[in-house]
Amino acid sequence: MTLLLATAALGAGVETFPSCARVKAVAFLWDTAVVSAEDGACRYALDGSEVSALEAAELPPEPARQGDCEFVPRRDGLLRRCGRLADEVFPVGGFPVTSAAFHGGVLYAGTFGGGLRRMPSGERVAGVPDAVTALAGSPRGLLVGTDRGTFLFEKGKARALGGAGPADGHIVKLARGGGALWAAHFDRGLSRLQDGVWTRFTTAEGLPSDWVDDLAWDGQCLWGAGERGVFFVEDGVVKRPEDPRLLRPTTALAASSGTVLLGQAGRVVAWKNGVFTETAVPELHPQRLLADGGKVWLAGLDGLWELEGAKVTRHGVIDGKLPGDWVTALSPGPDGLLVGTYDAGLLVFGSGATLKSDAWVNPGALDRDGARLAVGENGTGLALWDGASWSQLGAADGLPGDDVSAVLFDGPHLWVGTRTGLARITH
Amino acid sequence: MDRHRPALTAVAFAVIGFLLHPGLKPFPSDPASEPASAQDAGSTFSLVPSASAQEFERVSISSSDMPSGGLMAFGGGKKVGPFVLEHTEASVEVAGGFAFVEVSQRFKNPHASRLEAVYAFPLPENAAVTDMFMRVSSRVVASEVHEREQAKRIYETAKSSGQTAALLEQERPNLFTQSVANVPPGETVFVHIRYVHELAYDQGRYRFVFPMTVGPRFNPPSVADAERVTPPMLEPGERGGHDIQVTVKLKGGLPVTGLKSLSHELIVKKSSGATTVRLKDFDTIPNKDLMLEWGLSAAKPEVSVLSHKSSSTGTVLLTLQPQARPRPEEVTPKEMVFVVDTSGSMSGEPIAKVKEAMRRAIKGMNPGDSFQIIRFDQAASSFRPLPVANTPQNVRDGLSYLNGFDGAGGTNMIEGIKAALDFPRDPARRRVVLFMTDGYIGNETEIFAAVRERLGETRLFSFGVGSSVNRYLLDGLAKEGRGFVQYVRPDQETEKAVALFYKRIRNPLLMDVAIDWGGLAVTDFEPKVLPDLFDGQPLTVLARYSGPSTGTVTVTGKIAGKPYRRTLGVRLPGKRTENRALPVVWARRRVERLKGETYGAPKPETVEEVKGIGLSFKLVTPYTSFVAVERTLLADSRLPLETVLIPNEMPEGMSWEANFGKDAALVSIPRMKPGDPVLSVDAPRGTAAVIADFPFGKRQLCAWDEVREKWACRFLVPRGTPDGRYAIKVLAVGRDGSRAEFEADYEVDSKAPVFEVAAKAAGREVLVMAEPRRFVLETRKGRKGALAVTHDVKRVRLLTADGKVTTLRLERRPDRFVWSAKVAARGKAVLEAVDYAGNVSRQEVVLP
Repeated sequence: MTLLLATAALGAGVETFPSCARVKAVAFLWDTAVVSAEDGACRYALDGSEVSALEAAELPPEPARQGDCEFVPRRDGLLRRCGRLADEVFPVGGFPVTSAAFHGGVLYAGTFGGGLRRMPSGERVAGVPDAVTALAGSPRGLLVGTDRGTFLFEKGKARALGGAGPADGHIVKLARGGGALWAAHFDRGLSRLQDGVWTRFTTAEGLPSDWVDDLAWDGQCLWGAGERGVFFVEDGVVKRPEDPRLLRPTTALAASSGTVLLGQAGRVVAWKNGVFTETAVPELHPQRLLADGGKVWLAGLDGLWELEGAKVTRHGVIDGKLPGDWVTALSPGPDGLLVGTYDAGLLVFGSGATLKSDAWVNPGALDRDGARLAVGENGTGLALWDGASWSQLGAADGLPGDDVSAVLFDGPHLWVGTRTGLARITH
Repeated sequence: MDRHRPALTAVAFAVIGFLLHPGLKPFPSDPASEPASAQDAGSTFSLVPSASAQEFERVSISSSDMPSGGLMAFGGGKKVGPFVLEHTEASVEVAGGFAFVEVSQRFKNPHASRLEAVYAFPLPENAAVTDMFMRVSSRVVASEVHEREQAKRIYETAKSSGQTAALLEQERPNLFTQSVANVPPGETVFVHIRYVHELAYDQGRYRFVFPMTVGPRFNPPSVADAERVTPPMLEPGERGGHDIQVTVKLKGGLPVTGLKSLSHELIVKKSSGATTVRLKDFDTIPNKDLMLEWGLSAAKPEVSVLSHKSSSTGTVLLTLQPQARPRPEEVTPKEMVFVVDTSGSMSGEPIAKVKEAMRRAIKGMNPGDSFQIIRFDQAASSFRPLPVANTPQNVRDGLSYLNGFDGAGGTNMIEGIKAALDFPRDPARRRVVLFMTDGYIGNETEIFAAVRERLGETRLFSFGVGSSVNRYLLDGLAKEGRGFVQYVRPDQETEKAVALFYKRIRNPLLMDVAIDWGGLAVTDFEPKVLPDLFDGQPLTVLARYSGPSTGTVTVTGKIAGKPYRRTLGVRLPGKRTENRALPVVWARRRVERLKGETYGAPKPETVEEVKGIGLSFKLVTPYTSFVAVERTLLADSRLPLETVLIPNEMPEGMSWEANFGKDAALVSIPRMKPGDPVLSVDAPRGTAAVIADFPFGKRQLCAWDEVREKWACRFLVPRGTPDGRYAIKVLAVGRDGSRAEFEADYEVDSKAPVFEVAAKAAGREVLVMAEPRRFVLETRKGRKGALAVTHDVKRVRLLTADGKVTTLRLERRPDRFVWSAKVAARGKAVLEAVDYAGNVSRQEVVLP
């Protein structure tokens, strides 16, 4: 087996928190398991404890071999190539086969959708998630990489390794509250970091959907919005408001002292203590929502909406207030509302001032701390304004990726969420 | 080879007999066996066993309504040829609770080339296929049974050498594939298939089902050429060109009462003790199963025995149907344990239906019963620590507990099983577990093992709720639990289904059944483990015996806790040619049991035993097939071999779109700038997995979305994705390993709309016209894959110097699209156009 490893040598001041949830490859390395995942690389002791994060692990797939036979994963099953015999494909429950390995003299096939299967019977091994992406076999056990982390199968049982990180590397929103950091994931629910311990919240823990779009801390509890409406986390327990009107897909959220503002397609909802107020906003496809000084601002795919009382005003190219209509991020600024767009840069609304014309600001990826600004950009990394000049950080500087989708100032730290991992910059 | 020669000989005689006397229907001899005599084959082909008073009717279907398989192509050069299948005939006789069926389909090769065809057809799931032969011109080609791989090799060899050959294989217990090679040009081929199966008997009525078409299926991967078990379907409104005529004859034995078809219009004639039934002329399209029901004018005896012996080993059938009906106070008190799956997949209508069923169940308990309610999703919890008495207050509390059920969370079914079976037993009551679920879990084997390990004296009944439940799990639960299964679809009348279910379980009729064969030398019982007997259902036990003997069979059990005992003097004869169905029905049962004992892939020893049964009994099994080869070359082997595909009729009431046809997979934003659209896949909820392979190299599992009632994947189209059309490959995998593949398209479009603008004075106003200059070719999904030219502009607005914004209106002129509006302002204005992907273009225009 070829094993290429690089130990963690991250950029100065940049600390990464890989979930290693979506596994691409696994390998044994002495008494540890090495995992290459979409959001980084991890190394686990076989007893389950996490040893370290790796900067990279390149683990070339090893075909399963026995004698002169080789077993090759295919979309339609497991291909057997044996010397002069004709190639033969063995279907494995109808699922695409991603990997194959021998363990204890038994051939195992990893399938995408049907879990881990003993061959040739195709019997499923319990305790392994549906989507197996990688296998590595040895006399010590069978390492099973999945889209939900890594498992060690030994003595007939499978157990999870690691799991000490966030639920996933795809971060769409970061929030601070209750002494914890909260990370919303694109389609994997929510993670909480508190006292150095990560806790995961998914539909299994009561989330209405694993597709979470926005988070807000109201001083008492965390509110979340997503595909199936809003939820809140109180004392570590996920709860859902009983009002069915709050169960519509919600993509933008603001919360303060029990009042929750929701941005939904075509409307804005205010909800407090069971009182529901709705304002129709035709053509609104909200990206983010900001309550500021008696006004509600909505960033949308087709412009910027300003709500003041019952008055709804739409701004964009058509009224000359914005250079582009695809508004993605909002933040209150000392000189006015900061508006991030996808194709027209970062600007101060109403002033005509463009702060960064080439920025593609990802939805909600804008945060301010005094004079400092952090801007998460689509494909070009993290832009930092220190009050005087811009600097740019990306994967080459130790960030998990160049598609920065969430930023959050947190005391001496700046949390940076990307599509491929979470990082913390200490300055 | 010698081992099989006798059976072949018997069949050859049988075929000759059939040809000489088409009105007589031969039935296969006891297979394990010595050769059936020529006399047997030629003169004793009565389908109606006459050994006892229990043999009462003969139903003969002379129809073309048979398994309307279609010839379908494989390999390269496919052709669709619905007119190759001209006609179907069938005959069915019913005797002693068995149906004897012969199917004859007439195919004609209209081509100048040789024809190779494969046709798939459905049969009842318990059909024992005992024979296949074909007639080409005046030639009759009998079949041999071989191990499947060997039969396939024989067929392929014959095919390549130009010999006419036929191969019959079992793909599923209810789905068979027949291959026919080298049919000469212009020739007509008759394919005959014979099978026997047990009839369903319930609530005093027999039911005969004759499947006619193979509905749309996923592609099973277990067959090398998946197309062979997925015959194409005719689309709604299309006909295959062949028709069906069905004749049903009932005669002999006790008079038949209440004969009716649940599916077809019938013509019924009675004469001299026989009843003849035919399909009405307008109801001969093979697009729905024929379902016949009838009763008998007299009750069945409580215990009866039939036997057959034409070789060294005989077969005996014992039928038990207690007539006693205990009074409510005599019924064994029960400990009712209601287990409800409250996981996320049950939310909505399924949980509502379960609640309804539960209310009925709780209110319908007998006075002496106790009850417990257990719910499970990720974990299990119960109504009370231990079962409580059936008191009004406890019932009210139980119903209140039930009302709080909602579907959410994961499905950790093993916890539900443990909770239901592990708590201490009440010695005064019999525990009955009612397990309500849709069964959407993947660890069936573990669940079955847990039930097997814990069941003891408990009986477990499964209740499947939903339109596409996991029948493998639910059937297996009932089997392991020694109960039975009942299904309720969302569109089904719940009250009736639930009432029937509880009518049965409320009063278990006969429990702890045991049979003492009184010294009779019988072995190899099927079923191996005797189930309890519930209201309206008989118990039938098949066994094998070696030599003649006499004894007293004693059946014992408990009815309402009181001993039940019946005896019957039985003489097992040294030779009895009647009841020839018994050996093959025994063999079919044994095959199914062996296969069912190993959930998942069968063990090698099971495969060998099934093969042995198939070869000995001349039976099609998953591992044995019929092959027939004409030794004389009938076709000119220099002619090309034409492969033909014959579609099946679309089952009545089934829509094409609902079966992975048009728009099975869609992207929420078909044309987009970079963003995060949703892929929706219209596959049944019970699908094992829906897998999306995205064009950017990522593979993702989709999740069932309760609100959309579809499978859904959220994905990201990153910035920098080049403009163009992209396809997501979607694979849906069924719980039986079947597969369906389709694609969802989306288009990345980052180009702003281009248009020409003109403005001209129109009285006091200005007419502004904007004509798009960029169009798109749009694929209209569907079988024709039609293309349409369409405009790409979603909205056009005009900002005039007076600050007003006017939205232009789209006019569809004969040859173009034009956006236009009249405005009052003059001077400079800005025209803004937005396309469907959200791209915006702006253009300055001077209004005259």
